Amino acid sequence: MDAVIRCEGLSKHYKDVEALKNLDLEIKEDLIVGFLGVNGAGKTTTIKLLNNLIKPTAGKATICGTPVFNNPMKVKSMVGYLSQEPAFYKWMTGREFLMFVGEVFRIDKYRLKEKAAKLLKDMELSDAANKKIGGYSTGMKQRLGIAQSLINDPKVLFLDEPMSSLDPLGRVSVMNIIKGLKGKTTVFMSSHILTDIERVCDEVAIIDKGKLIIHDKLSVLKEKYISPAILVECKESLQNFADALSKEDYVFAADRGGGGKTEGTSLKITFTDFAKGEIMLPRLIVESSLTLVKYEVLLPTLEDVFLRLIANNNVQSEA
Amino acid sequence: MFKAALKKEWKEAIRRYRLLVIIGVFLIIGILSPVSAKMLPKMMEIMASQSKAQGFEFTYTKEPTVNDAIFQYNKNLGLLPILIAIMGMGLVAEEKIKGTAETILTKPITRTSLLLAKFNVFLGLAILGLIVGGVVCLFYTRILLGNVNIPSFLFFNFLLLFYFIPFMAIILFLSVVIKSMAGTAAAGIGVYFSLMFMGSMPYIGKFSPQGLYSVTSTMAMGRPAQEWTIPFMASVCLTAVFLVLAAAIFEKQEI
Repeated sequence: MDAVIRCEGLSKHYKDVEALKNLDLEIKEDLIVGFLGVNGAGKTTTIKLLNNLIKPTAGKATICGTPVFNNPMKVKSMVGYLSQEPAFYKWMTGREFLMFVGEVFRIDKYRLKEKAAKLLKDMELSDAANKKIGGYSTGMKQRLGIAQSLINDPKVLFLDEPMSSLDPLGRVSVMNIIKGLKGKTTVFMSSHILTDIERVCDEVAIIDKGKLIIHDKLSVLKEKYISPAILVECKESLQNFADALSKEDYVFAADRGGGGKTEGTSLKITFTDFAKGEIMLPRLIVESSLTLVKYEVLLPTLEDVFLRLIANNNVQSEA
Repeated sequence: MFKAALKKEWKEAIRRYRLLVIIGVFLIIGILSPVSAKMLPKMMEIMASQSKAQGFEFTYTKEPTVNDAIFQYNKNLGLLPILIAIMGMGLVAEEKIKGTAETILTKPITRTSLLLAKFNVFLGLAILGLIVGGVVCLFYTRILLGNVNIPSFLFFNFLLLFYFIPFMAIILFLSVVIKSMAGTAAAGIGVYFSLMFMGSMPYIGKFSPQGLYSVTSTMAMGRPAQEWTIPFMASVCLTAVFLVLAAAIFEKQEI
């Protein structure tokens, strides 16, 4: 598979702030890629750069082999874009807006009518198609935003925090729409809602302080960076037990000085050496004469990977 | 692309009542100018009788003429740049503030096309307004005061249009460079008064669009148009300069 998005040394500086530092990134065709980072990490800057809304300080980027900054019109004709807070002309109806965007793409009028109707149906907006956008709910606007970004059958779809302003129902609805795009187009989607990313993405790229920390398959990241955790719940307080555990070399929480989560009688323990931990932990519980209520192996989540990598990056930055 | 943007701008002008406001304003000016010219002697008569009662005495003997109506029309339209500033304040600034610029500029449309579509519709509104206002003014003047010299009146309106056009380009430019809509309107009104001041200065005045307004004022008094080419050229050049500047700056702006 060829790279549909390629960034080489892409940087963006604003006076004293380095919003993006030497981003090297390759995204393969037809994947759904989650672009993760805390607020201000550089996610929106990257997406805006790739959509020609801002200019880079250095570096280059291509989309489907076309240079983004030298041939913006060709690139724009190949991509779809949904901003963090999609804005529309409130005086237009949903259908009119899609028709307008389609006309900008010079789509044949007959085909455009059909395409707009299909997208409105797919986004469950058929009933509201002839209503003014000013009267749409946030979820409807988000779905209309996705519809307009798909009007040209884009080869690459950029979604900037598509679920951040939605309620749980709206999130599920938008997530299902994105899931439905799998295999049809390449989706590059920024978010800080990790559970959403985990549900729909094939690959994850994590950015922190303008720098790409990692980019890999979700399954590889989990395997490589996080071992399962163990949840222990006892009748007694586990404060002293947690202190004792933190001194063990196979416990990750000890490395972080309180990385384990103590809530009175329950404790979540993460390990640097899970195999050893799995053997040693029951032994320590027995030796400490604790009355075990619950003992559960927790599978790693993207949140664990994210927190671990961000923590490592902070340590490296400070060093 | 340009066609789509142009279509959208016209729709917006209609749906957001810009067309209605322009037509309404020109319609009112077109009607009121000849009517007020016709009524002026009667109003002066009433004022004279009131003044007499208070111990002052004056008489107003001038009979209203066609030129009085055209002069009034010209005077009323002289304030139109203020309306242009108010109506044009959001042309680009609003799109940037509300975020629609971000949505649209990721589509295959050039920023210059977008600006030109906005300018064209703004210009179209002014032309339509002038047509409506002119026809109505002509009609009422003919009914109330007599025949109007049509070719002269057409040329008078043509020059008026070129008095308005630079203000439209300036407002478009201001809407690109100023981040707030109110700021754009305030700066636009400031520019209007500055150009008015510049227009009143000897030698320099004729090189400003205000020079065209002086020509139309002369024509409104029934005299032939004189020395209109220099302010006309100044108006065209100023328009071109501000359009090019607006496009150049907009192309470089980060959204």
